[in-house]
Amino acid sequence: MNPTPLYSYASDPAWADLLPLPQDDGQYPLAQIAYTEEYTEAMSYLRAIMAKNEHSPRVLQVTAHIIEMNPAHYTIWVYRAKTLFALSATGEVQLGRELEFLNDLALRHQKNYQIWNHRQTVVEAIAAAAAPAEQEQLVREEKEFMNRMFEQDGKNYHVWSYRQWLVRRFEAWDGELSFVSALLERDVRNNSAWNHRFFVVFGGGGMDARQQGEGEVVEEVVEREIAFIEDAVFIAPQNASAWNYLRGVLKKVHRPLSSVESMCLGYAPLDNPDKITSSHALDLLADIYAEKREEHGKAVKALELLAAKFDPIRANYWNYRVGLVKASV
Amino acid sequence: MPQRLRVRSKRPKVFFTHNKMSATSSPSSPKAPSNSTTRTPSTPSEVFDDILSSAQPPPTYSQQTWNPSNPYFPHYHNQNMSTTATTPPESLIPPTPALFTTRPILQDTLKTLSSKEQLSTAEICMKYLSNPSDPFPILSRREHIAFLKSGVLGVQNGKLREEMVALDASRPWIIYWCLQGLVSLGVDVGKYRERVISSLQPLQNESGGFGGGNGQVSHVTASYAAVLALAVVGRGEDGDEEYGEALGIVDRRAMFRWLHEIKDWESGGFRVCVGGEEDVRGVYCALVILALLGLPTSGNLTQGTKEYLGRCQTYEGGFGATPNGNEAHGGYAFCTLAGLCILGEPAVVLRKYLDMDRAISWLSARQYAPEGGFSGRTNKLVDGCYSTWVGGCWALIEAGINGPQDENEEKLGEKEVGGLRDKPRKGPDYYHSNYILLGLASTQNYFYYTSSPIPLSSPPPSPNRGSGDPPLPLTAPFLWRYSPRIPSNTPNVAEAIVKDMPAWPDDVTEEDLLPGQEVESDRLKVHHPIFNIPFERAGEIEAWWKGKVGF
Ligand SMILES: [Zn+2]
Repeated sequence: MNPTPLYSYASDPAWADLLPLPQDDGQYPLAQIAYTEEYTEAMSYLRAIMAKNEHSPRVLQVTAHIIEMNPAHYTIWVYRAKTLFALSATGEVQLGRELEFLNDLALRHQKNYQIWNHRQTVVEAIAAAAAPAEQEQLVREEKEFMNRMFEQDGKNYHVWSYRQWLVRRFEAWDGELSFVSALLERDVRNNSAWNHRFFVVFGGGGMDARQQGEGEVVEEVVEREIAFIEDAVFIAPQNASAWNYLRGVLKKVHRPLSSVESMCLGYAPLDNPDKITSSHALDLLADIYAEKREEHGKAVKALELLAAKFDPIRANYWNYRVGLVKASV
Repeated sequence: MPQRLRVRSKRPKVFFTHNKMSATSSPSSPKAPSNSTTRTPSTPSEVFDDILSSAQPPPTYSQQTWNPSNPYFPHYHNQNMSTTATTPPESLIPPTPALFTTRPILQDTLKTLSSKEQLSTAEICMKYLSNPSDPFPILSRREHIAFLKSGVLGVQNGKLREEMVALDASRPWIIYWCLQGLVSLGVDVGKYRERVISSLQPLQNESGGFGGGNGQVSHVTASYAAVLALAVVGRGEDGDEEYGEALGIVDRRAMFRWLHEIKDWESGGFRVCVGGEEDVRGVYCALVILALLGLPTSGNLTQGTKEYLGRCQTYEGGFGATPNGNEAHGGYAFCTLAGLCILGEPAVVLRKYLDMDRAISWLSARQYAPEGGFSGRTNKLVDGCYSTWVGGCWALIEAGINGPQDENEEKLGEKEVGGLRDKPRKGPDYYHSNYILLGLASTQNYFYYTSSPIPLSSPPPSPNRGSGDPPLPLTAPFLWRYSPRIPSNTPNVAEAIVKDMPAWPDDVTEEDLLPGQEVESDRLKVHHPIFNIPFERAGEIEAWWKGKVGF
């Protein structure tokens, strides 16, 4: 794969002081991997250097080499982090360079856990030594890099987790709402973006929500969110993400489900089933009507429509809900 | 219809099995005979007849054509499904219900990346599901066994291909996935016992725990997989005193110490390794290790953990990786629910720490039509491994709703290449093979929680711990039972059928794999709903650590 001639630790004088340590796989091992010679050699020198507990610049060389071949090797990452911090303490290494190394890897290995945990550790260390203006710059660059990641996969779980850590850690709430709105503009079904919206508006210490008193969310924020949901549902009534978010908002601000009854009826007119365009509206209506005994008939009707026609894969669930409504009489 | 089960809670008793979920009619239902809540059928067949005769309206076409040699059939049987034919076809293969061969009735016109991906996946699945000759092929058991064996024994010179270096920090996982997958398929993996021990021993660190390979630092998921692999291969032959339980190779005291190191005393969670990330995987894996090794939880190792798990529930009703606002995800849902069920009785802990109604709604929304499979998150695609991560939640949810049950109430007792995969057009791998088999197995048994320990074929050694020893409180996961009869109270919903599926012979040897000698069946070996190891192993392991003095 690599067109450059194979490097060998054994022939590099910089490594001549080390006796490579072989791997002990035990007798007749199961699930043994046919390593390339390159991997076997790099690992045996890494084991040797770890046995000495050495944290020198050459550790960065061998760990980068192994990570390139196997980025899921968490032991290598932990040892690299220790080495980086030891070297940055003595000024031998600039932690900023590590982020460039990580950018390239992250773009190529989308599903990796270790890269993002390592990044978090490094950013934390950089920030600890940074002035406020430098911190702001760092956060801005981190967000820019994440945007590149989201262009490849707008639902990357690790990147979203990292973003939430970053935003909370640096109180970097500014711009987050317009950022998710833009993502939802591109794909209104991106549930990760909806989840981040909830985090920003309600979960994140209230920077956006401008919560007052006992964590109460101000009225205009609630109205803004409901209007946002209404727009989203209008263009895609069958989008579960928007309806889940609606339920989440109502519960968070202690508004009754019945406050959205007319909106639901717009997408699920119970008296005219041919005009139903959203199973989620039917689901909500069933909950709204289940609350009032005199409207149980309507709740059952909505659930039966779901079971029989509009969401039959979940028929057993809708029938279970019918059972709950009937049992609550 | 008669009440077969006493309803103790205010809510109706429910049975969920993947696409089959039903509720009993309420105790006050006028149809129920007055003595119904106290009557207990005495024999298995009586119960079975009871269900059939009480089913109303009369059996549908689907039930009439039920044939035990067609065991995949009940999985797709649903009373509300419209079928394309009204008279039985000549072939015993029933036509695929329209639900699985047509697009959903409600589809938005707006196209986005999510909806395009969804549609193309649905189209691919529909193509398979509407294949008139064989819409639901029977498990290619021989091929899957060969595939999983290649995971432990290697494909060339006893080794795995060099691309598998990506799993070099996950070797205990490969061993666990393949061995548990083989067990599900009826293979006796006892013959690998010595090799499992000698493979995992070099991964154990003196400071406690297992790494993903020799010389690697201890990691909680690697330790979990190592413990499961040892649990799967079990005890040595009678008279083989050298190892007894394979789990005996674990340095329990060192493991206990190391778990204290990765515990986050502030949040109640666990890190995956010293210096690693913290999430609910870490919690679930640590709790399974504590429970299976019978380690004491004194020292408050589980302090704050139930609360941590409860906080993982999101506004959607599902569960995120951490309590810090992550998106609801099927993998973390299983970790959260199973974690809570290790820490206590399901009906107590689940109801106390979770919003059950929203959890049930979110879990049930994971199944899509026409694909039939489960997705991991809202507006994401179906993937076979969620048949365990999402499908495995249902037994726990049922126990959470129904409460403990008495045992005496009702309980009885791609063809050329092997391997199973995420979805069509993806390649098979060991991970998906194991979790798809476990997911399928979870549809074939009814799991329930009881309040008495699992009976053993041989009585456990009498507890001879010193009186000053700390208590071993993580006993809840050992109080589960299973029944091959899946109860259902919805008329016409297939049930009690799995029991009649032909089972493979126990302890399959190579000879059993000869053509013509195979039993055609999808029936899998029963696993434990929380540990995902062979069911009977849980009770044996509990007896093993109960017989230990101290560490
Ligand atoms: Zn998968």
